Amino acid sequence: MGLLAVEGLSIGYHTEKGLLHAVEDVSFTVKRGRSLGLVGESGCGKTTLGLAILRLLPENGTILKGRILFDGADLLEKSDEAMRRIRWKEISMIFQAAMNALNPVHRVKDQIAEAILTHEPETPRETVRSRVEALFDQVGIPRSRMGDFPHQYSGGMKQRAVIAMALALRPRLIIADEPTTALDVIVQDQILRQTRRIQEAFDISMIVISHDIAVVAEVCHDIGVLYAGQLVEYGDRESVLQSPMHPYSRMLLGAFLTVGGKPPRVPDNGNDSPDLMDPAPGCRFHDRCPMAEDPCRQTPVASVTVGRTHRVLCRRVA
Amino acid sequence: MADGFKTRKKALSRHGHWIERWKEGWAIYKKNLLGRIGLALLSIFTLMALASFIPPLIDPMYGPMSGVDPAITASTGPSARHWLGTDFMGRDLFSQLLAGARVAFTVGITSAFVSIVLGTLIGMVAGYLGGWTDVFLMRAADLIMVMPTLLVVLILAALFGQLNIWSIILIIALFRWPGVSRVIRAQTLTLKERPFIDAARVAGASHVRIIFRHIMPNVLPLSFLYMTFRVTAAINIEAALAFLGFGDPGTVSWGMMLQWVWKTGHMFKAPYWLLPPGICISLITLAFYLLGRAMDEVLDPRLRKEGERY
Amino acid sequence: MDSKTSPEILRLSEVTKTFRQSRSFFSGTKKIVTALNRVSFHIHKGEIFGLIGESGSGKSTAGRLIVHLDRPDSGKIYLNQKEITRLPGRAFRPLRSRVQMIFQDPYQSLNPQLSVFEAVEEPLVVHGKGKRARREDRVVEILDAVRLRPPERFFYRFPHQLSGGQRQRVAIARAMVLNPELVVADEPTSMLDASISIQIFDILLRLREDLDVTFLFISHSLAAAHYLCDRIGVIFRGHLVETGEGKAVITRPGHPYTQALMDALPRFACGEKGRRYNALLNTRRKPPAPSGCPFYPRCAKGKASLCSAHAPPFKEIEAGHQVACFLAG
Repeated sequence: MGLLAVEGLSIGYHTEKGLLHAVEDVSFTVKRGRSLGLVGESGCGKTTLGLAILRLLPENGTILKGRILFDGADLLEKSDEAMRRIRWKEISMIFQAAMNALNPVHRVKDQIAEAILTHEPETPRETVRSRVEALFDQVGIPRSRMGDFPHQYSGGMKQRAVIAMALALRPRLIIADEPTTALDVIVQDQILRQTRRIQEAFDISMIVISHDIAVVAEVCHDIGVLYAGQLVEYGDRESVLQSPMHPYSRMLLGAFLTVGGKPPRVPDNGNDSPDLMDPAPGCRFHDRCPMAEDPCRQTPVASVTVGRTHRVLCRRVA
Repeated sequence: MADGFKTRKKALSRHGHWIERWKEGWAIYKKNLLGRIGLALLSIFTLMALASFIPPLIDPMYGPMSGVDPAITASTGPSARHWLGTDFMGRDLFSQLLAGARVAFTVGITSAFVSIVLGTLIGMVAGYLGGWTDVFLMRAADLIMVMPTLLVVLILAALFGQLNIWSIILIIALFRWPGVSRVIRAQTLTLKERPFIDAARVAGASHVRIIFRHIMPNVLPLSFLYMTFRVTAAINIEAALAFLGFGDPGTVSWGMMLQWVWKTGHMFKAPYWLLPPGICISLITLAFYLLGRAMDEVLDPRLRKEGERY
Repeated sequence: MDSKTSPEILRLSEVTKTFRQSRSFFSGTKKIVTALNRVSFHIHKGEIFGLIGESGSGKSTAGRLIVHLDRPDSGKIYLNQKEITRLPGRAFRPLRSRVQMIFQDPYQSLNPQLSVFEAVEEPLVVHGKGKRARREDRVVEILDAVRLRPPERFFYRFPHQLSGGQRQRVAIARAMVLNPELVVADEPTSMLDASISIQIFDILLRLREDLDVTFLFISHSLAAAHYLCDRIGVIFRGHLVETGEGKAVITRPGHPYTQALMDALPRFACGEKGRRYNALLNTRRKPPAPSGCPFYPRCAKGKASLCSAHAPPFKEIEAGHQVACFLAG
């Protein structure tokens, strides 16, 4: 039993033109102290999934079916009030472009103290201070910079501060949406390694959402590959990276540029992601898939277990 | 044959883009209650303006300016013969009201259109070229903006005697572009920083081409939005002028009607004469304003964040 | 492609570019930022030259200078051995058809109001190339070359109706429609997903073969440069620190900064057993004297007496592989 279990989750957005099927029948679990990476191109539904777990979907987003079990209780059945208590305290988040999440007119340490005091108002001042100091140490910001304002920080430091904020209430699950996208390669590498250290040291579970399979490969134990709202492949890091089964994962990994290995080969038939307004009932990748057959488009696909912890959504694999 | 078919199909899809946009815009507009009210009011006024040609055809005595009911020598209240009554000379108030709608549209839309064209051009040029051109054009705009239009028209009228309606329209237009130009300039400044302008420069496009081909289509929706607000202003100015006695004596506008009520001392004696033009001025102003607000929502969120309202 | 024998198409010689930046809103003092500091490199006809650096390193500025979107403060730029540095806009316009650019963000670099056909046709119109029917044929041809197929189907689509990858193909078609000799590709795939990026790279490679065009490829990714480029230049804070054959720079990086970039590559990208150089200092040193090595504050190998005081000159550590570091080689 995992800390978080998403079961058969489908999410849609109401738009002017009708219902957009953003996420279709997605299931996965996040075990205690493990991290799951969700990868896929923009528009594949990865951010939507993250928002849905926090129940922060925009107004026109609806959960069509499925359950989100956190500690065995369905988050979708919780009251708004209960959900508010869970956010930050139990499940916290690091958003895309998180550096804008810092308030420019307050000192960074005050903002983090504020986060603690809002949820745990009884904490004595002394304790708050030592906790804030500890957080700065953990994320690798020198204590001398604690009293700075956000604009005095570099991009990497802001990102570290945001991570400190997400850690402030010692949550059990952190959802990080593109945590390093806006950063330079060297800084990105440092922050990813730090994140992994923290996650292991504190036994926190994490969901890392990224378009970059390298980011996910760097930090996560498990990997889920999303394509056009479907979780096409899901398994532990080694299985997915070393023996990807779904044609899309293969394409994604094949496209990954390395400085050593073989040159990538990606078939280009000019097709693009499908229209999510009216998706075909079958596999959503069939348009771009080099091994697609007629039934791929029409018949709904069931996921196939190919290893102990490795599932693939492809009828050609079966 | 095949070629002709190809071209036609292309033309269709080319316009398809605009049709689609109108449809999308309309879908948002439709949801706005105030916008619907504004549009309903405007349709009524449009009908009135169109209908203004009918009464004089029925009987010359219904001519709004010169038609006089021979049986009547003083202002009378509503009757079957004169639905809204007559003025002091026995002219039919209803036909005057209809004619007033026509004048309001002419004044409002023409002067708003001219000021928008000027404002858009000047705003784009100032914003795009920057430097001294910008400084010069914007200082000129400031100068004109601080001059109260009404006062200027009054002074001009005093200098040149009676102004005809087209001079009034032109003066209003010439004095109302600065507000638009500031907004368009602000929009142009942000557009100028967008990489597609750099891309156009790399492609070799000249300044003129960049302004008209790349910037203009992106600011035109905003210009049209401001046009609705300008219409309101123009109608109000014309009404005020006419009321103060500086209107075009050859046209029947609602402001003119109000001036006649006042001048002949019927202000508190003939509500059937005073109220209709007064209400019409308020409602048409309101209608254009509501239209503008609803359009604002259609264009949101892309455009609203830039610039000031007026 | 034997770049050694083919003639030089572009040369930058000691190019410097500074920008004024207002330091803060209130104080009004201006800070001068040096985007490029005496940068020199050249590109041979038919090759793909990669300019690699992090954001703010000045790599995009170099691209903008080459296509005349900005002017350098000093230094010279030569196109086909002819100096173009100070050509006024009007005189440069005929050259525009020979030097084109692909921009970073296809969501921003296409005018939302122009259809695909209008966007791709525009350079032809501007340069007065051909009648309408002829232009139409050319647009079809080039859309086909970037694999937007069938081209006619895309003619009257607008950017908002296209995916990111399709938009970038349109942007490439627009840059290629005039048959330019040199194309600056400024991080053309940084906004795109991996599988789409590769498709874009493959298009660039094929265009190079078919149209004999030269590319300056600007990127932050050594891996992408490795895939695409014949030669690579690594740029750090406006200083070019290393140039050489792509393979040489990647397998034997000479400059500590290049080594740090290699370290930062996801291990998964080096097949897990990639060598670590540990060239990066954990803490930062004080900035060096203005004349010192720009990388010294972060360099794990720097020597205080040498690196903080003197600018390292370019050293050839092997044939065609130059490094601006005292300690290299």
